[in-house]
Amino acid sequence: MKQQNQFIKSLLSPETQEVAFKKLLADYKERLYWHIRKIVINHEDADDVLQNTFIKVFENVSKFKGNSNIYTWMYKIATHESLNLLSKKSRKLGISNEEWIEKQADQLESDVYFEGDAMQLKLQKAIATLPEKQRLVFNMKYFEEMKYEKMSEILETSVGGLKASYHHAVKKIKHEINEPS
Amino acid sequence: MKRIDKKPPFKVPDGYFTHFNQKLAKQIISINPINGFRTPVDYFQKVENQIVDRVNYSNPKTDSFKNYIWKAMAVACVITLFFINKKTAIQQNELVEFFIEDYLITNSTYDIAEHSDYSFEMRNFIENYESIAIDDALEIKLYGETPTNLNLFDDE
Repeated sequence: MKQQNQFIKSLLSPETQEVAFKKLLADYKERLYWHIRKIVINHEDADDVLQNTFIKVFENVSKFKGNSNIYTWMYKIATHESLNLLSKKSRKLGISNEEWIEKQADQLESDVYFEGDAMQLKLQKAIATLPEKQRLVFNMKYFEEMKYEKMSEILETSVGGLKASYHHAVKKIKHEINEPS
Repeated sequence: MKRIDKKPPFKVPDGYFTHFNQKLAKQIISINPINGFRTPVDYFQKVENQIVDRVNYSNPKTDSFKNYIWKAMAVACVITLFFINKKTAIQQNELVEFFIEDYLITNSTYDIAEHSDYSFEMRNFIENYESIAIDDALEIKLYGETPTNLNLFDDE
């Protein structure tokens, strides 16, 4: 925690800000990108959200209270930014976030930036049918193997609630995958 | 028969094999093996540069004196609008009172009665017919008589 506080100080100080921010970028851009990408699916959208996330992190680092890990805080920002983008895009078309995501998943087969096999494609389409919270929980648990306690901090939901969400998500995905296409 | 050169006639770009491994490694890294998503080649290097360009290190986002002035002006505008609306409301009330007074002066009791739907308030009745005693006015109200039933200006 002491090391983190020193790092935050270097981010706030004008003399060391640039170097510290570049280090933050180098350390966390890929991890955040893949988290964002799983939410928004589309690479261009993930790129927008990733950039906006880091800009927001830079502008608001003075408000970071230091009572959690800085990565957890950035992860939270990235999650909110991703969901905001989904809301914005779906509102433009007059559809729900879930409908927007299903549309994106349907286009994955022809997406240049998707190289998964048939099973991975089926899994992504099944994940896209989940309600928003369940989709977030499933991605964080299944792909990122995140602990429920950390997830609870990021999503501000109880551990019990998250476990229930994950259980329902897995059930629904199994059903979707096993359905004859 | 002339000896045919067995060397292949094809060519490759300069430095092709030197950079091949690096290029392939980048392609592999850009594919997330678990979910099949991939990124454009060199994406993470490019995005880092793009983000650094967007961030203004010399002008961090802080509340400057200029921002305070703008906020103070906004508050002043809201307060001014509030008082303007209040003044407008007072002026409107004065106008309404004027029109009512003018209506009562200009129209006779019979005209007023005709205009109304006979729900004549006692207070208004007394205000307009000062010559009637209150007891009489009450009696009129009790028996449901209206101004049109009254012959107030006849000599009885």
